[in-house]
Amino acid sequence: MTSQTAARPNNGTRGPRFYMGMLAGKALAAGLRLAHRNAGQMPGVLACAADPEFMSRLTLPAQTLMVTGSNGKTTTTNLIDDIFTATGHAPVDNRAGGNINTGIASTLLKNSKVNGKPRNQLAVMEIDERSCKLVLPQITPNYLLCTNLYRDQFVRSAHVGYVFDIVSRSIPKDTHLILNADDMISGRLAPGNERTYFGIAHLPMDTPAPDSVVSDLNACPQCGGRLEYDWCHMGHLGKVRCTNCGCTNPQPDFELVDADLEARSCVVRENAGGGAESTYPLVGTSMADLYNELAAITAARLMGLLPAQIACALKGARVVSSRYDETTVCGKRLVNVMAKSESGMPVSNALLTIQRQPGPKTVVVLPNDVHKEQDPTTTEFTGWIYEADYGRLADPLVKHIVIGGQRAYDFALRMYLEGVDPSIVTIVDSFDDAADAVDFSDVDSVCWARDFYCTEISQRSVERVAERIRAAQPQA
Amino acid sequence: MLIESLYPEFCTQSGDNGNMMYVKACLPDAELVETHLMDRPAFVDRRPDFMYLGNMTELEQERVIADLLPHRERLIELIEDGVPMLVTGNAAELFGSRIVDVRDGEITCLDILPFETRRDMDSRVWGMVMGKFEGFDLIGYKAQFTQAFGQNEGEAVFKCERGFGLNRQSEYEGFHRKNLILTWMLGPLLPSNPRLMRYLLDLMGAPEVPVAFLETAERAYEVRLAEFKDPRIDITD
Repeated sequence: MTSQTAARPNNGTRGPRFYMGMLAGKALAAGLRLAHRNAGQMPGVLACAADPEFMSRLTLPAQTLMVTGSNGKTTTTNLIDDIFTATGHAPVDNRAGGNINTGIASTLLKNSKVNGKPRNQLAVMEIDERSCKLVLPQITPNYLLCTNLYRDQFVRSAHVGYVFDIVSRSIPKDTHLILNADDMISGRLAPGNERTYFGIAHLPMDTPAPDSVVSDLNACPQCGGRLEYDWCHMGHLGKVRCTNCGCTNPQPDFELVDADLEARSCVVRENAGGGAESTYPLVGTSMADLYNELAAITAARLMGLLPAQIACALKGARVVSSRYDETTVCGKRLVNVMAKSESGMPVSNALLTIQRQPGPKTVVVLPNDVHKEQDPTTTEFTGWIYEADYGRLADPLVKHIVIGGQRAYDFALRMYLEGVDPSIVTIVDSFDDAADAVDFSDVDSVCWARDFYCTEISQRSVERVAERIRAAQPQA
Repeated sequence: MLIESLYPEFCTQSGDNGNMMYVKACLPDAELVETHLMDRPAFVDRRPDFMYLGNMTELEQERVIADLLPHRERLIELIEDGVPMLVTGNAAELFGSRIVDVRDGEITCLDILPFETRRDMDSRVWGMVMGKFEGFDLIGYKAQFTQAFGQNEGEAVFKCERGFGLNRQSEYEGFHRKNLILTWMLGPLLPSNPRLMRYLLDLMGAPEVPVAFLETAERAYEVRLAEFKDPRIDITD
């Protein structure tokens, strides 16, 4: 592994407040460890309370990589971490600490000696996009990788331009950026910084243009002109150019030029390195998986690992998905997909997954208003449902739709406005009633699109439908 | 019937695109013109029966202002002529005199209505809004980095029964001048308020046209209205 820079203090001045924060944080971390509890971000909370510039007074590990972005940052961070661990480097990471400022402070504190010097000289940490403005003014990572930028929860993160500005204005000028060439939004972060781009060439599963109801790249980011796509991989990611000013994607330095999903392998060409091509095992088969893996390979290569080392480390690795469960009962597939609400993109991805399930299907929609059943004095903004691709349910193979919860009529209206036939929709008042309303007689599968907070409800629902399917079988 | 959707490529923030979805569902046979940035707007040469402009990003606001400024006089003429227009979210700010950003200077706007906007990207205001409009309860949400200052008491969309108006101290929401409805409420305002959709269809000269999926929309509206009338529920910052 190579090191571009030596370990260095950030601003170096360590006064009584710093040492007070360091000692208090370490004492808390030790106490929680003795109690067999995960310290999480609490040591960082203490340290930052004692010294608001605590992180700036630490010496960073010689190689510090941070990973941010709207989608895939946890998977990418874990992949990079796993690659380095498999090659014997065991980086410090913030899987336990959390990806906001206090979580990162906690991680760095635990990796530091009392004098602020790092124990481990390699750190790979995830950082929440909006926390960049709290963390990056204090520390200068060698590398910042941004997977992509999409609109997120409107209430929390406004719009993608708002998040872009936060990240872009926060990036230290000496940090080398690792950016997605296919994302005309995040690919334009901090234009004065050195950068390396990764990107994916045209693949057979691409669409000619974005096919979602909304796109975050709705016009040329440079002049506002109309965009034309050569191809689109997912969301707004793809090869695109402005019909007005000619603005287009940058050339990727690391380019995934082929993916064999059956054989689970891909070929990455290093355009900046004489065009050398290397083959890597695929850890997942969705387009998002390809991007996350390519980003991880790019980071590992920049940080000095050889293609053979990376390929060996990735062998046998798999992306763990907590978002998709499948079981088969009496020949019918029961597919439970997480559709995390309050943001269009994750729901659109879930609906696409459901649409791609083979054969006729029944769809059960369990949105995020479960809290209203528990506490009727709460409410929420539901504008995001018009940013999600509910039109994917206007598919001849979707035979029945069951919608549960207090907002069921909002969701039904949203679906009707994109062509779903009202006669196939059943609305139930309670989430738990949804399972009894499922018609599975003429379908191959029943698919649940469930919010994060509906996980247990959806599991009960799957079990109930499974019981009903078994009960409907003719007795031997 | 001519419907003009202004800058639909931008007006998708916070689900504002749902408004034109609903108009299209109600009027499937109407001529729909989608005017993009740098296009010549249809309203320059023709008189639309309805125009819509929705919430967008701050950068997009600047681009749209630059695009619309040459047509300011025509917009005033159409407003005075009673063309039904709906403006939602921060698109409303384009019709004031200027937007003053605490960090990035000021932007000259269309100066059609008597207010100006102050913007602070570090301070977001957010909440539920409700008031009586044309005899029914109009309900919606706001989320903005801005507050507006000016005189709208005599021509507001409504006096707020919940939430705030032009700014946190104001009781009066938006502007209702002739058939222009300009409000900072954002998102799918029409699907969430089928009675407003009915009102607009009447203004467009289509009283015989039914509101699409009215029963479903009304059921959703009644659920939300009950929440807006429940004093225990409040998500205003």
